[in-house]
Amino acid sequence: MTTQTLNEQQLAAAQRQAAIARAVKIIRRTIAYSFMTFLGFLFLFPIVFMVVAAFKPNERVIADLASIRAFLPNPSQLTLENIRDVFDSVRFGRLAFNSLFITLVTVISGLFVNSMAAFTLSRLRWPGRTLMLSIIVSLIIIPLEAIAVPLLMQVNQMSHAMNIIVLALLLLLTGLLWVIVWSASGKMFREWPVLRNLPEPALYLLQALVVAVIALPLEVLVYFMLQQAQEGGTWLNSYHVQILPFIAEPFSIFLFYQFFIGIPKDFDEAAYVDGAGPFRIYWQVMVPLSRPVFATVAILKFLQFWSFYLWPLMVTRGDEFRPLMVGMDFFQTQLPIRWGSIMAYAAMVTIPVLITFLLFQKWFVQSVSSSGVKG
Amino acid sequence: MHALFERTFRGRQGREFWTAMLMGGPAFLMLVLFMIWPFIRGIDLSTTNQRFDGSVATRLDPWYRNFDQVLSVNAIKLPDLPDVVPYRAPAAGWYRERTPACNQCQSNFSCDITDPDDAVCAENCAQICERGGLIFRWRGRNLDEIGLGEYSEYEIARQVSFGGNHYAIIAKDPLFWKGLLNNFYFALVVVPVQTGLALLLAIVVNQKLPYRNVFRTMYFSPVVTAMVIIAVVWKFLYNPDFGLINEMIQFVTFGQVEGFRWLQSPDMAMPAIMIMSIWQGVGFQMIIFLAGLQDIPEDLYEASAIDGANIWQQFRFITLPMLRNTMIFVVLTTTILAFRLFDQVNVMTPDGGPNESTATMVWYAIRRGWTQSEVGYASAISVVFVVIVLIVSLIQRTVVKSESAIE
Repeated sequence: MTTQTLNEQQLAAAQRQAAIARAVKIIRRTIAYSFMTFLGFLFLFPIVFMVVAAFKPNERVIADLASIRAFLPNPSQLTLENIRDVFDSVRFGRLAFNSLFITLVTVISGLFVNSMAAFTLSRLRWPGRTLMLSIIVSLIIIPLEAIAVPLLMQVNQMSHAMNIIVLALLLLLTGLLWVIVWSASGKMFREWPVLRNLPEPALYLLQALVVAVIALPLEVLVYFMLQQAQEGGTWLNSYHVQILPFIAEPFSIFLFYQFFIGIPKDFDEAAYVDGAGPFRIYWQVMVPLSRPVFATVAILKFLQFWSFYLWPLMVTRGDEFRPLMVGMDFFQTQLPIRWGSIMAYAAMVTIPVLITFLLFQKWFVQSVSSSGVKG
Repeated sequence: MHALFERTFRGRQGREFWTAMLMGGPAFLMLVLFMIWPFIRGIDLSTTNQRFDGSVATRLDPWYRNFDQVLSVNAIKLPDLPDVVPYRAPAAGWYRERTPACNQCQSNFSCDITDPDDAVCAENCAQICERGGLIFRWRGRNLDEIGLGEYSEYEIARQVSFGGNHYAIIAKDPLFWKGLLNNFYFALVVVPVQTGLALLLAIVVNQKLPYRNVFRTMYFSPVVTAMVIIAVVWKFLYNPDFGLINEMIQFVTFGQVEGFRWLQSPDMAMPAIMIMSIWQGVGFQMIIFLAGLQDIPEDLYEASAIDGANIWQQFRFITLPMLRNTMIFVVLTTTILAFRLFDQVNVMTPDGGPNESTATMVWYAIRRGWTQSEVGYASAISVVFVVIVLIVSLIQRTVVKSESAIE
């Protein structure tokens, strides 16, 4: 009898404790979530405000500020006036194309050039390799801001010989990419069931086409440099002045290098035994195995060059070659300041990148976290 | 020698060398063309009076004249105060300075010419006069006008008085020093605050709660906005008259605090830029800390919980030591970024802010080298800038090394 009551008492006590624990957990979660939501508000309110203001009439933007309405769109007053004004006052399409073009060409050719450099540093033995590596590591610390003024001098008065050197470099790189992709894709084309039945010349043509498309960023640069070398003169106010100085980049080389030395040597030794040369090992062993680091470098570089401001500001005049970031200055100098249009412009620049980020979130987060692993 | 040549350039090793040159050469050559060569060229230009318009440059005599101009700084004792101090500024000598700009209306009212119609402002200015008293200042750029001929190239950067004597810190280029100090101010505030906040956010997001990734996304989203674009949005938010931030401050404090003049006030302009920079950048560091946190083995926490450690002890004795390398990385990169400060400053305060309170070294170098096309002088500033960045990171690295030696 006594043991039974004791058991009941114990049961009741245990239940009470469980109830308390549950309550504590709920309270704790409520606190945690409200804190997190509050922080989320702090981080999002400028962006939300910007997007909402972009669709408001100019005078409402300021009038709504005093209340919660700053964050709420008023359905009856939604307007596309601001967006129309952006298109009327600047060549937004041109600016957006410039930004996208410059960023993509810089990032894609940078991936190729820097990963190859890292490949030679991590996989090939040649005298001066360790010296080159330490030079590259120490170059990481030199910021662009420190060389901006002399670099501006340099690109303003490029000598003919310099133009030829750069052109030769680009031709070499393009040819290299052609050879690498051509030799790597031949077998693949002939083994693909859909294409196997095509006649031989058509296959070659198709392969050449693919090679040309993959190397497109470098080919475009060769085209620019051919023109530049013919005409001579300053590099200012052009696309290539915003691309060429930033293709080779010490930090990217370092990130690639760090990843490549982590790949076991067995892989490329096996390929070497199979008769593969360094080109094939690079394209068919290293590149497929290093997709994460390619994504990392691509995303970090994309963010950097998409928001690049100082250099385009210095080297461009007018809107022909200007990217979006510099184009924004127009609205700040026009009086009276049309805040609605500014917000519309800002939203139009920001939202595509935000959507891209939301779609490829995993990659963004992964690339940021692997930028600092080894420090 | 010949054998070395044979070994390097011929045979199997030779093939490897030429392949390396073929594949890596373009990147190395580009680094030389667009980084190392401009850097060396900058050092060379810094000893000339090169201008951007293409006029012929000459080597300076002595060669370090630009550096002398940038770096010269001195402290001197100013001559004694005369018996009668004039109210209006004389061509040279002491004068009573107008009171600092009125905080309410931002007009440059002085005590003796307050607008009688504006009661609030008049009262405010009177208060400032009463509180601060009159400020005596030297007039004139040329110190030789007041009998300090040896310092004729200097300008008074800051004046301090104690014990009835007046002292001045003088510099040949006060704006450079202002920029340097602003950079240090920015770094000293932003680096610890941003690192701490990033760690806090990482810990918050690392809790095992459902939907935590939603919050991670929220905190990270400012990072993918372009700094220049979002700086313009913040410029609007900071507007002293109708800006959202002042409205929110008033709302939260029930109207007790009126808000600040932010970008228009010498005291608050830099903090405004700091807040905005932290807001934009902290998500990046949060992700790096998050990666560090997730590398800490779970059983460390379990073992310490069995030993009776509370949450604070766990944080102090497990989390912090395990995050050491991540912390070093974050602090180093944030410091370098702090010294490179330019975009926000140039967008939010294109002319360096009120009283040059947001001028930075890079902003100043670009202003001299690009806006005013004094390439030689700007190169000298850039060289000094690189040296300072190098020194700061070297100091940090040695501090980090010696700390790890103790452990």
